[in-house]
Amino acid sequence: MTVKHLRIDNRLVHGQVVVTWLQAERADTIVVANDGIAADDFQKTMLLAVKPPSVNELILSVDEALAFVKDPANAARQVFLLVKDPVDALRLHRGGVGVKTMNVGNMAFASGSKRVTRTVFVTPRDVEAFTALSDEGVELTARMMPTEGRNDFMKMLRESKVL
Amino acid sequence: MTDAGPMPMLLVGHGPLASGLRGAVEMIGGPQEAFAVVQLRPEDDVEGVAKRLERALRRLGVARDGEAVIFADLFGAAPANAAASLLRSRPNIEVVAGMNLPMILDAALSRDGVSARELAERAVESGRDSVRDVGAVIRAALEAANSGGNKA
Repeated sequence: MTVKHLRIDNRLVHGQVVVTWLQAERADTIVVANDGIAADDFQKTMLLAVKPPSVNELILSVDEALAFVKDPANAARQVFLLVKDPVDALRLHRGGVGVKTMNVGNMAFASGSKRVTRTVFVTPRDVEAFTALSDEGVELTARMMPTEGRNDFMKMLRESKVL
Repeated sequence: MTDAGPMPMLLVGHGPLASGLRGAVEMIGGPQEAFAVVQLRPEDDVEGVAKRLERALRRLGVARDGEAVIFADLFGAAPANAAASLLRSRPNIEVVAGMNLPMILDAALSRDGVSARELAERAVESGRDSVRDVGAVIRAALEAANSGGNKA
């Protein structure tokens, strides 16, 4: 099993963003790991109905996503993992997803959140999860599209005085 | 729908697109009633946009089981997905993606006593039919004129 890319993006699969990334990373399967959506038939059906037609997409709980990634039967898959927030990313990391670099896409404004970039806002809970990921050896980048350079997300947190 | 008022329309898109379309519609067709816009800003999430759409529908006076048509700019993108999520609690609204000016203009100017379903179907048709390759049309016309012996 190869997890080609793990993206933290609260919009999950949106517009052309994910299609562009799939092509750049040569991934063939999107796995959305989110407990709330996995347990919600309406949202699941809706998101699968509007997915890009060329893409295999699975919507799983975080635990199911871990099991999927570790299943030898999926060894040939090139997976693009998507989570809504760093708390779920940390659950995947601690559950043994085995991803060395995670990428931050959109993080929406929420009450009590601080601005890092025009499209990234973090709450204290997010900052705690990002710090834990970094401390546990995960490299964090913030690239909206594949053409952007590998900027250091922890450095961005420090520079925006969030850390 | 029993009353013959205009079918409520709600436009949602990336950045200023929806309000720009409203400006264009009103420039051509005059001020619009029962017409609202919501925009996706860079810092928004899908849920937040869905909440603003829900509030906009309430301001338009659309009851829980009432009819309205939401027009979104891009199928599969956050504004259209936010609109689609309202179908859970509002069974009688319609959502159309891929909005363009001809579609919105046509819908806005003839929506009295029309059901949401009818308006949505017509909008998809007029939006699709409105896209024209002007260069090809003109060149084909010029070629036809030339081969017809009308050379200057």
